Amino acid sequence: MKVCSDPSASLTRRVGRTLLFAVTLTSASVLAAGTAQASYQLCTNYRVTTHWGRVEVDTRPADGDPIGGIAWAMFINNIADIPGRYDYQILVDGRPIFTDTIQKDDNLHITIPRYRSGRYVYESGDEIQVIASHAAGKVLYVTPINRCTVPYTAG
Amino acid sequence: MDQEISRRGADLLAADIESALGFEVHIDETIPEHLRRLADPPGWWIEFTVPALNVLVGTTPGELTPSGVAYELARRIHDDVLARSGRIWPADPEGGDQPLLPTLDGWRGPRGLIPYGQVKAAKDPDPNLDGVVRWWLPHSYDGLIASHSGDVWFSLWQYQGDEQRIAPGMPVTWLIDEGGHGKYRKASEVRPVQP
Repeated sequence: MKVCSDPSASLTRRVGRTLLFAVTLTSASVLAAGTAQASYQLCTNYRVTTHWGRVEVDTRPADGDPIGGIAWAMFINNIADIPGRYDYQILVDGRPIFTDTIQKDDNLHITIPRYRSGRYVYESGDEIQVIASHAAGKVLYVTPINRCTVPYTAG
Repeated sequence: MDQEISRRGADLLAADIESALGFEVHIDETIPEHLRRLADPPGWWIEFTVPALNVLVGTTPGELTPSGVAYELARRIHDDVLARSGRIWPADPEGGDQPLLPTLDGWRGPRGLIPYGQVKAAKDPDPNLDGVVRWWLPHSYDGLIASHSGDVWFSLWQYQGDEQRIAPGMPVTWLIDEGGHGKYRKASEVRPVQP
């Protein structure tokens, strides 16, 4: 199986564990190496481009909260590879808050609401990361590292 | 307790699909093997499937009430159910092509609320609409443009403007992209028509 990950991205122990979660789904292996970033960009018009596509992240207002939600999307350039099952984890400061599976025929795009179950699940200054995997035939797509920081004011 | 609440919430949403659209829904609470192997596996799991629409979502609902769980699941699958069925679901009793929207308390429209588990109606889209937003889902940023040459789907990422201002019936212009979503073609770019 061919694995599409981001060779320039760093692989921390924490993310490594989670990538392993994604990859064990299809019994493939992932190679990634590089230099860790000291600080992360804001989740405002944040984009990570990789050789197979891109990830886009932005904050959006919701229910009177200027940062009520984070809009997150993964785009695969080869549209024939888009349909199928996606497994993803949403992490806040490295801690998984959602582990989900969804069947898509278009690109994976998700909303990460700030308010859930009567409380805020992330605050300004928290680090958000989504790790998604998607198998299309013999190709396994794994998102590049897309950590970003929740801003203090809406962009 | 959380598992029981999740199951009851999933049952409510399933009833809304089966009653209004007539599609069978499967609910599986088995935690998948790959998740059971995690260092911190989920305590419970709901896999919610509508086979006729190829809709599947698997998650560990975190809301505290059955209605909240139904909301959590509904906001994940609403767009897929609409795009793959080609229908307006749940239909607003007051009319129009904007479906009722999921909230923590139930499906809400401009003039009222239907609790989860009590939806009975879906409707076909109005064939007279053309060149306007047919529906918009603010919880997932997905929308549909009514067009006499075939409806066109779009989302936040294709919209060139303030999505907070998108409203059903709003005139828009668009360009067609490759690929599709459900029964619809996709837009590469959507803009509001300037007054």
